Amino acid sequence: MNPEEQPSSKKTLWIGLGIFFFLLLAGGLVWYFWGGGNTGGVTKLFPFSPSSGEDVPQTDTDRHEIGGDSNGDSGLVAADRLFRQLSLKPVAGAYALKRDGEQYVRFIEKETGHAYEIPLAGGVAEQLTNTTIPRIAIADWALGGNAVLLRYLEEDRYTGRETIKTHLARLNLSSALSSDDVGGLTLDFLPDNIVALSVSPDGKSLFYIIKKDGAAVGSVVNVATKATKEVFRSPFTEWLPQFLNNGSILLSTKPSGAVPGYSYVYDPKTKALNRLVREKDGLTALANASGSRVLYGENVAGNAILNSYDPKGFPGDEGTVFYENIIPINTLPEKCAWLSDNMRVLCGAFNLTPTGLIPDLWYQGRISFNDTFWLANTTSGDVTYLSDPKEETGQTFDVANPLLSEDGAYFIFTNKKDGMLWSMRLPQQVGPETSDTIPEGLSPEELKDAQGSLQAPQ
Amino acid sequence: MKSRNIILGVTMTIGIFFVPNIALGALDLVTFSTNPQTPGPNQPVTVSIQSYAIDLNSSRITWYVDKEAVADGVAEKSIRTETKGFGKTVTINVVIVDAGGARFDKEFLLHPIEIDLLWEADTYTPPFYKGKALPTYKSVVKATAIPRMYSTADDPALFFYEWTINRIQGVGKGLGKGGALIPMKYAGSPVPTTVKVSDPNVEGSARSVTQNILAVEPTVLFYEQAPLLGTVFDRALTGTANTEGTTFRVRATPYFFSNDNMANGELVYTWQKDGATVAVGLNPNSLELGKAGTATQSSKVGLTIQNRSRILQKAGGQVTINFSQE
Repeated sequence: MNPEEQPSSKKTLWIGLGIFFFLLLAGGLVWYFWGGGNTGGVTKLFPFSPSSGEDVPQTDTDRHEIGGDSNGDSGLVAADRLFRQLSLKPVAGAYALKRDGEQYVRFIEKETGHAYEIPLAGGVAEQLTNTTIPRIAIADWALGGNAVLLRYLEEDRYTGRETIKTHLARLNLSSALSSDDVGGLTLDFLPDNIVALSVSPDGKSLFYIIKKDGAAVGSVVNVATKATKEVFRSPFTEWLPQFLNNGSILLSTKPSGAVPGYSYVYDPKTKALNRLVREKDGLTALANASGSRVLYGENVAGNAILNSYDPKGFPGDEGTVFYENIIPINTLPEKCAWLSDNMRVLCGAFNLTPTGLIPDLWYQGRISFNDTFWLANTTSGDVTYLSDPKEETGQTFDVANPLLSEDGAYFIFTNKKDGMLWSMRLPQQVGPETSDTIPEGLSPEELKDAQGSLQAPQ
Repeated sequence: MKSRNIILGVTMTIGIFFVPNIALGALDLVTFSTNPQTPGPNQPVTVSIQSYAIDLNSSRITWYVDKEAVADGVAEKSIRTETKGFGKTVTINVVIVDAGGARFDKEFLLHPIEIDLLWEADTYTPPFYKGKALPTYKSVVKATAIPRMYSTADDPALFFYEWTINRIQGVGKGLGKGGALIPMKYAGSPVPTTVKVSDPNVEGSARSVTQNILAVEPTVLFYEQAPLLGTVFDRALTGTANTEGTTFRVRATPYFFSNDNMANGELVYTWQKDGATVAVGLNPNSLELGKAGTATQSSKVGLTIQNRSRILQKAGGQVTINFSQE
């Protein structure tokens, strides 16, 4: 090498090394401030790298982590995404709570009966309990998420006869939340063959129905003390109960699309049975927590029509009062969740009612819906289009068991197509002061167009 | 003269016996009806009058509700009013003056009454199924009347019930007899069921409601029965279903077959796999399929279920399970 070239090459080398270390330092700073850090024990070195959607399980067998921050899309963190998958296995029931200032969801895995908890803003799910009970069909939460009713079928191996088993399970979480330990469940049995069950909104009581001597016998249980009292008896047995905050119970007849149904409010103290809704084909109903308003669905000429009922009435023109108000979206009340104002609901709604008996075909699993998400005002009947999950995630949802997070910022639901638990971050317009309204009388497709959606509905 | 006396006598006799009867008959033939037939408390209701003896279309009719005039005019045959709460009565008076000037007064006591006629079929649906069990051929349906005349907490045992099933009156009646068993007919044939409820201590308190109960055909649906998930009732297997496993258990659910026959083992399950009849184990409602080798494989499964006691309760179905390549 020419001696005059040596200084030049050294200079180049130093420049190259300088650039290299600079990039290394910059990368380190980025990782430190915005990287994964220690999320539940899994340290993410490249937090923005796409993943397959599954976190690598911990080798520590005491913890099984699912969920995670990345779902295989562009690498957006959980807080930025509209939809987020919360579970990787089918879920029996979920509960939203606030703990240490953060929003969480607890859920029960169907296959194992294990309880998990996942933060809604981001992070992986943590296993809370390791008491294994397979084949959980339904999980109803109580006592602020510290107790859960686990319901499953026990089959006689010789006769094939099935018995409905119900556990009242208390979560033993003294150390699980603050360490890597996993707690367990303390189990109490409720009677066999409970045909219907509802937990009160405050989680302190539950109401269940069993059949005895051809009658429906309803009892209220104090979840904390397990004190049980029979409060209801009826020769008619096909009831679907919903326990309300004031201690009364909404009792609706089991629906079929071509059979008139009825909804009542039963007061266990006075034994009064007050009819709210009468003779609606395919009637399904969902009251707000206080019972001041009921969302109900009925079949009218093959269409699933959603209505709201208020026993005090809605003010009409010229001083008239009417008691029922049509909500112009096609859905079933059980695909909706009431907001805390007890006036608005968030729903997964389908565009067209399929042919056949609704809700029978849906309950039998013969049809599945592809829902879009809507906000509805049960007073005015106004509806607001929120989102189409097909556009956001590339997949479709059939909303079941919906609920809202404790702060009302997330809509949490099970996708009936595969049993997975999902959350949808709610846009600001859902807040009480910014609700958008659009003209009444438009079909869901027209409403979607009014919102500027580019994709034709399914 | 004698003949004229006879005619006069006959005419007077007819007049004495029939004119009052016609007048009385006119009063009896003024009837009231309400829409709805059994209005609840504090509900708007239309009250109407009908008559076969008086031409109401040419009569001046005046309505009073609790002694207050609310409507007055020719052919004013109905009014809109509202019931009060349970235990309270609205007194409706109607004054009818026909074209000939004859006047008729009629009173009607409007009080709320709710009679709901609920029914349930003793047919099978799977545990946790939220829908209604539907009736099928010769299944038994239990009807229950829920009346409320004076309060929402009325004791149903205090009322008198008369049941008419399939137009046969007096099928069941009695004090506190608030339920009836109804044998169903063929699928598609409605069974009209009426219950008349009255307070035995109050004359004219009887009200009726009717429901037409329709039988359907039973149906069999297939579901996956997974070892840890249990039976996946959320998703019925229709047409074809794909699996990545090497075994797959198909569970058949016989919707709306009579429960008593199921409990007594009177349902006959005939399974077929790829066209050949297969034997099942102790529990006939499921069939386990297995895959031979690692290549893709399809198994076509068929099933018919026959109720030996109620022979028109029969259903069948088929599904194809595709095992993927390993």
